[in-house]
Amino acid sequence: MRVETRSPGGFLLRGLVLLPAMLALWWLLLLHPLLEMVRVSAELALRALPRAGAPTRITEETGGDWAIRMPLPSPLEAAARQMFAPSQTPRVKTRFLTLRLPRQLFIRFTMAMPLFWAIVLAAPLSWRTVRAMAAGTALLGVLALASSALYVAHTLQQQMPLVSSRAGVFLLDFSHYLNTDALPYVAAIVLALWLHADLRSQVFFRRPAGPAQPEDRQPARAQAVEGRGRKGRGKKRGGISKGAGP
Amino acid sequence: MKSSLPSPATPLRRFLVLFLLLCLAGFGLLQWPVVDRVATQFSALLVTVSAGLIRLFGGQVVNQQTILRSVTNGFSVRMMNGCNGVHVSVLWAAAVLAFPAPWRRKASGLAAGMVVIHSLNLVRFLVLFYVGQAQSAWFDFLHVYAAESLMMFVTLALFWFWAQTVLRSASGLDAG
Repeated sequence: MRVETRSPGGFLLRGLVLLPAMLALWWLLLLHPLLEMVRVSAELALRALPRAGAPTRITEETGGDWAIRMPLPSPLEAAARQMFAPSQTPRVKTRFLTLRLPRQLFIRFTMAMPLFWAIVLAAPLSWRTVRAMAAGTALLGVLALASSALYVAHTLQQQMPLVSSRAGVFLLDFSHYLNTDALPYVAAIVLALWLHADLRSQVFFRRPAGPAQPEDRQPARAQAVEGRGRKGRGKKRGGISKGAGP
Repeated sequence: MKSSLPSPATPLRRFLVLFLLLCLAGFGLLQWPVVDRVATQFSALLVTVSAGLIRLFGGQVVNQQTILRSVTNGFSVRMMNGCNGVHVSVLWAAAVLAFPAPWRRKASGLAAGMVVIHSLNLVRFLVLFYVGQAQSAWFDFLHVYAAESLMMFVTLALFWFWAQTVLRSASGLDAG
């Protein structure tokens, strides 16, 4: 099966139909299972931390927010003692902390998925589409988990100094900013272009003006042929010239 | 005529590295207080333009800095830095500057893309202002997820269109 989408106009029109459909699918059907996957994966990751035990868990509260009960990082023990129990004797230790975080943030970390699906499905359809969809969705799932971890680290930093150096604080703040404001949108596009060879080929390489050429059916292979056999010609002509017809 | 386009062996890797570096630089620049203040002034300008457009079509609104408020029902929205299109502008600029094209093409692409992106963003802001008054339950979904995703999708299609224009033009130069 192959549906040709040879122009950005066709891609845009298909996307304008597919994007609302994918957003509806994500919001109405897939969001809860996706959030559950992120929650369970995050809990398993937290349990792998040193000093984690049975109390380590992530639960969804009645309002929808997440309560993350996790082992207190060692560098924060003194600060936590000062903050939570200044009058306690040194023998009393704070070993766990609970963070309550808004569900909206975790939803945001999965929002790249419908955009990614819409881009991939609006691009030329081929057997590569299925592979790109599966790989991209899995990678975005891992990214959602990493984004959640970074968000937790930043929230901790807001409460207690996890990092003290100015450079460290700046890096954590900047990463948090990218994590919440840029990554959810950029990741979908970068991954779609990276994983979908046909889309990448049509965006970045010169297309023949006439009818479809045989090379178009196998963009990645055609690129390799161009890179080796027609190297001299490519250099002479300039430009990104994969798949150009004779 | 000498072209600034590189050989076909490296462009994608070069594009990706440059794009990510320029994105980091652009988003880093937005964190600088001076640029942040300029971006806030830009938001205020967009709100003023939005209010002007609404009044032109008979709507009753007041605007104060980055806040737009309906006179009839009191609904108000504040245009934050993420809502003023600067993030998408950074991505657009990074993509266009990273793409192997002559500087003249990059300059015209940057300017044309910014006009399209900010026009679309203005429409998005106005639609959200009315959706917020009519269906407040839908406001967050449209604001945070749908409208942003749509902006990104359109920007990708725009980039595809511009890249093909550049490549066709390079092809024409070569043929000539």
